Amino acid sequence: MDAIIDNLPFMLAGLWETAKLAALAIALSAVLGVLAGATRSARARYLRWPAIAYIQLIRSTPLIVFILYSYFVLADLGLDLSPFWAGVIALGVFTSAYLAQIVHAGISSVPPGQWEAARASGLSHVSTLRHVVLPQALRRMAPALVSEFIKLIKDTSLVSIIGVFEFFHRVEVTNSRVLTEPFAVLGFAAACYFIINYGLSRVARRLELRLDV
Amino acid sequence: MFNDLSWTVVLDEPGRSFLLHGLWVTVQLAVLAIIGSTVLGTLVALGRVSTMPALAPLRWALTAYVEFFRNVPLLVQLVFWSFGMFSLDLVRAMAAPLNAVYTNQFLAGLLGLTIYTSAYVAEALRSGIQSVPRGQLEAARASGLGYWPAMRAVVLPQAFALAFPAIGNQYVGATKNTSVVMAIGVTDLVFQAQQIESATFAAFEAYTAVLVIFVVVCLAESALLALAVRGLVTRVRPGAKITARVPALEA
Repeated sequence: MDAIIDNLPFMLAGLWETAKLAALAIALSAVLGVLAGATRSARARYLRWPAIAYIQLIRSTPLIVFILYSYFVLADLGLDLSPFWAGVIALGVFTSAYLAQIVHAGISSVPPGQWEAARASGLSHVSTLRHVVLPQALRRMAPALVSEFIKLIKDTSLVSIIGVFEFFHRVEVTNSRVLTEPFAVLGFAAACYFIINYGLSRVARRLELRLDV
Repeated sequence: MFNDLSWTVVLDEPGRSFLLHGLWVTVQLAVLAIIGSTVLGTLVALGRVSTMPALAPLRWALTAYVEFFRNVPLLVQLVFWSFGMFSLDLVRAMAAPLNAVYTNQFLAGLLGLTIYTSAYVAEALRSGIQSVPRGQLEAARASGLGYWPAMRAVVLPQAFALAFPAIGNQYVGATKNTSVVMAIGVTDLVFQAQQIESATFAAFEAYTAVLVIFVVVCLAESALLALAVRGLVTRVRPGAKITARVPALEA
């Protein structure tokens, strides 16, 4: 227990880093995910197929490979990113593929009558998406979206391999400094993650009940 | 930069043997974790759907098991097993006979990955069991079968067939999650790519090779599992309609 109490400020500062990382990655993945999901549902093949390729390619790669790729390869290409921003980009793009799948499922679940009525009223395809279909789709898919965000919060622990000083990296550093209490320190980390993620999953479940019309 | 790519780094020795060794470790890890998590997940799911009042503490414990291992990141769990458990003399003594074939880090990674995936498999299988119509179990018991024989012969096969798309998703997820063990020192595919990269500074070639290998393996695995879904569904429930693939909304 002493190891935890002595190093508590150091480790908890990591939670703030993790929160920043997660928030930025969620924002990026939301934008890319909605774009990719809407393109995935397009009627034109030249739009649909690149979106399908993007989604399937990213969903078939592990996140660690993605993180290493975005850190080392982007640097090779001249884009010298700090580990933090490489992590944000990697997490954002990775999660956007999963969000795109959910958004596509949501758009497909909106009754076709909505499309027909909107188009008949004179709205363009994009306007229909923006004003009629997407709001309904996103509301139905909100619990699944929250699930993906919970996964993203868990995945922030992986960016520690490129040196981002987020929560789990700090826990590992503390553990290697105070070698005598690995179970206490790691148990503390596990408890923190569990409280955050389990709390969010309860929120998702309540959302699901509330929106289950 | 794209003018001076040297693919020989990954196509010739020693890079090629590095990658092949890494691929072998990854495949072993994935196959063993898939088998182990299916066995463990089935036991957990069966425990959770039991209705005997005497088993209520077990049901609570299994729910806690599933919720805990689903909400804690895999990396945290792997570090727990490798730096926590495998630093204990008792655990090292128990693992000593296996050390001829598998390193302690591999075993720690295997344990962590198996338990992590088993929580997801248990959840998917539990919802599968609960989707089997109640009449099946009632008819089986009315025909004279006991509870467990009825589960094993009638309910579980149908539950597996119903849940197999979700379980198959977890298998592909486990195959991808094997990459996380590189952080605890297991010489899997990604670890080997890092070795190549630190020796030759050829980051693009090394990581692209690993990316391609993973994409090929995962797409092949998904295709195989899709075939298995068709085979299972038609054999276990003859005449059942094969509905369109539902994208995995939960992992």
